[in-house]
Amino acid sequence: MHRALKPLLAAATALCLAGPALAAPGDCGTLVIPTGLGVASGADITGLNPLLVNSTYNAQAAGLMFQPLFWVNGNTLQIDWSRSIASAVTSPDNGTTYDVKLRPWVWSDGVPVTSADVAFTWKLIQAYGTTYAGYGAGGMPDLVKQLKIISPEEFQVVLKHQVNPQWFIMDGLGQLAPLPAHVWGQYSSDEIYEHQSDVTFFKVVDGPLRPEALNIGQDLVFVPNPAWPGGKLHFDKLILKFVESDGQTVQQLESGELDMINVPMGLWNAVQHLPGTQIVTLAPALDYNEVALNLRNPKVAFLRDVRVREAMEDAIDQKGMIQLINHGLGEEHWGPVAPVPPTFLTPAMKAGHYPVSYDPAHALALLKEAGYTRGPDGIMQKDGQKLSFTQLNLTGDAMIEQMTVTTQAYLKRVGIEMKVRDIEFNQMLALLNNPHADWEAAGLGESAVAYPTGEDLFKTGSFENSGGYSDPTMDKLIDASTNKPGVQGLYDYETYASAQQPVILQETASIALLVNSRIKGAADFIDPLYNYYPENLSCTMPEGEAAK
Amino acid sequence: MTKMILRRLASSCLSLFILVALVFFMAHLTPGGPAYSILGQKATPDSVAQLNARLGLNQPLVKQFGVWLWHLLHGQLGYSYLLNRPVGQLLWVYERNTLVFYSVSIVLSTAVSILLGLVQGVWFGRWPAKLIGAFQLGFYALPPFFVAAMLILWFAVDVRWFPASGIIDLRDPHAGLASFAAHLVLPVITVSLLTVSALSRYFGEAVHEELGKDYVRTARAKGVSFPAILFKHVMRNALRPLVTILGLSFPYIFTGGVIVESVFNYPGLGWLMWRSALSQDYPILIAIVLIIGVLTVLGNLLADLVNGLLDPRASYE
Repeated sequence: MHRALKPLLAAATALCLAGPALAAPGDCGTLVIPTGLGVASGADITGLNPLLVNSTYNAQAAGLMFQPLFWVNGNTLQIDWSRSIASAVTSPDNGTTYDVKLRPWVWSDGVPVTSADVAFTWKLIQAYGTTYAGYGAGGMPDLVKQLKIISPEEFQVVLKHQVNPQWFIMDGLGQLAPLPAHVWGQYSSDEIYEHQSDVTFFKVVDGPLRPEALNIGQDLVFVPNPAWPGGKLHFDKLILKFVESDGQTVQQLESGELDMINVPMGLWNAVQHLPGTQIVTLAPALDYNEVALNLRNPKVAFLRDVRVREAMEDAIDQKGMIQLINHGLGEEHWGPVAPVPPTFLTPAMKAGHYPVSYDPAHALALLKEAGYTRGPDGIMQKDGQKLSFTQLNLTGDAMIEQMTVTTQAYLKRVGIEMKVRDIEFNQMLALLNNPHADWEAAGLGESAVAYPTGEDLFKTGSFENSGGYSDPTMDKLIDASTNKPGVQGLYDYETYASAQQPVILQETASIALLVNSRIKGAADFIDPLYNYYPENLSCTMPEGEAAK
Repeated sequence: MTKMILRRLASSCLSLFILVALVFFMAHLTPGGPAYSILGQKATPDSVAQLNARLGLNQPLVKQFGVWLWHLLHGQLGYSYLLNRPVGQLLWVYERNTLVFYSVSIVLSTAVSILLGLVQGVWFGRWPAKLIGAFQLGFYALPPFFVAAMLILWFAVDVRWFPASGIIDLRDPHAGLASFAAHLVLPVITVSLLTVSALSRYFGEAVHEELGKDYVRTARAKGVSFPAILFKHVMRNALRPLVTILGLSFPYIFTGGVIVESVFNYPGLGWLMWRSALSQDYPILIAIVLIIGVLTVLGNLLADLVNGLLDPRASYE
């Protein structure tokens, strides 16, 4: 070895050894995890303002800094009052007026969190209009007629009309997470917009962590907020490192640079017995995959026939795909509502009975009923029109590629041809947003909301309804699910959506984590709504320290 | 010489303008747009329109280009749509990382290339030269990501001598120069191995060619020692093609390499360019293209000047 390298090596070795040696019993010192842990491959965090978050990554970071009004636990889909800033919510007229009481909570600078902070959030949401990240979800902000401060610990929201209280509380009202009016109030909404990547702007928080540094393109450094009343944190720093490649995360875990990573399914066997690591399987997320269909495109007009869509759904063996691609980790998704936890499934669906299921024979029967016969090339056709379409996929995602290839094979067995074209994220979004674009189908991931009605997904003209699906019955059922108290509306909607398949629903994959053996509580760190619970992480002492 | 430099710089301005205008219009005409990157999957036609209006992206393209040029003439490179920072500030953060990384790599590569090239030229056709030739061919054929991945596996994962990624030890609050240097080792080796395989071959060939020339035979006949011939005459002449190649690679010192920086998670300018292209963050992308253009011009000019110093017969014209 070159002589000049020796001091360098010595320094590097000393630095590597210094970390564990400084850790106190039960304390983790500095924890380094990639962005997207428990979600997907990593990406950069580019903004911290919870009202402007444009990705799950930014949302997760903002979620660690700001405590929500209502904390919906992803494992139960119930409000966890112990972690919510609201202590109670009532609707005296069963759906139009909502009285919310706040529990004692403080900002990191010691100033109490009050209803004025909620009113400030509301003012900002109105100022940002359609650029507000949660625009449209839960009827926000257009559904709200008025927000009134009753006292520092209480406020009232009045809606323009009566709605299903459970839906509005979980999906709409919950968006009014307090923001520090006493700090941000001196800035205009434009100035606040411009500071979204400036950590010094976020020095006052009410969540468990406070950002210390956002190193553009590298990492986001958090330190515990000592004023957070939610529990003790067992680390000095939590660093979210921006690593995009799954392969790189494995190498960095092995080299000790990362503490926890998502297991890349392609490397499942390779990571099973890595020394010094443990595999922790998470509950499946509430998200699901789908093949979005452009029902406006006359070239693929056959997709407007519900029998064709149902046949496509029946042709795909979701269980087989979960085994083949996800090593058995995942859940079949025959309807638009997550099967785990089954909180909002209909009683029939809880028992496993959906209008659709894997049944290739039924798929063929449906296509025959619709008048299709196999052509000489094995592809179904009717009046010279082949059951053939092109699916757009996001480039560079190995999991999506595997899913697509498998879906292609399943569809081909019933005589449906699916071609594939890769495309960049921005271009895909631009196409999906253009009602005149001639895309035919698109492989997408659909993110879930706490109370899973379909007003954004399948209602005529709704913003996530890219394929232009329009059905009066569906519209009526969705309206009932959001407007009428009780869950019956939701049940009717999800049953109809499962039978209709406005998009071809596909399975949801579970994520497994590869975790440094010294870390405990990784399974309870993330829930299926991608909420982080940093207080659940702790560490065992390094072996050398334990011996002392 | 001053006239020549000024003339070259003046003629380059037009090339740079055309380059930047091409990239500006091509980038803006591709489907999608930064609004989708900023708003993410929840982008709607309304929100995209509102954001485009806010960013001035709803203006005619020619007007946008005019505004960009006007700002450039006032020393402003714009504001990153996605990273919410002034482009100049971002470029400086990434540039300094790339500058250190590639400067070290190029200096190291040049030194090793000269050494190997001399050995190859002097012992041409014999086993040391053949061994070096095999090394050159082998590494020249290897893709950078493969070399990088192997180095990470061996030196970061297996023996843990050097870190696999980043620029600093995130766990050490007092990490400084030593940590930065340790993080540079594997990326520098990757770039150097690949650069040396090409540079040393050019230099070795040049040394061999020079050694066969009449002036070498004359010098030897006059009794000049071989080391004196080699280092005073042959090396000076053989360095000229090397200097030209180095001049052409000058922009890489500043813009880095997309692949190597990506594999090592090294936040350099090449990596930033790649990210900006994917997210259609036009201001960053165009600023980097402008930098590459300017540096290509300067690199060529510098190579010509150094060649002129090495060989006074070379004409500046």
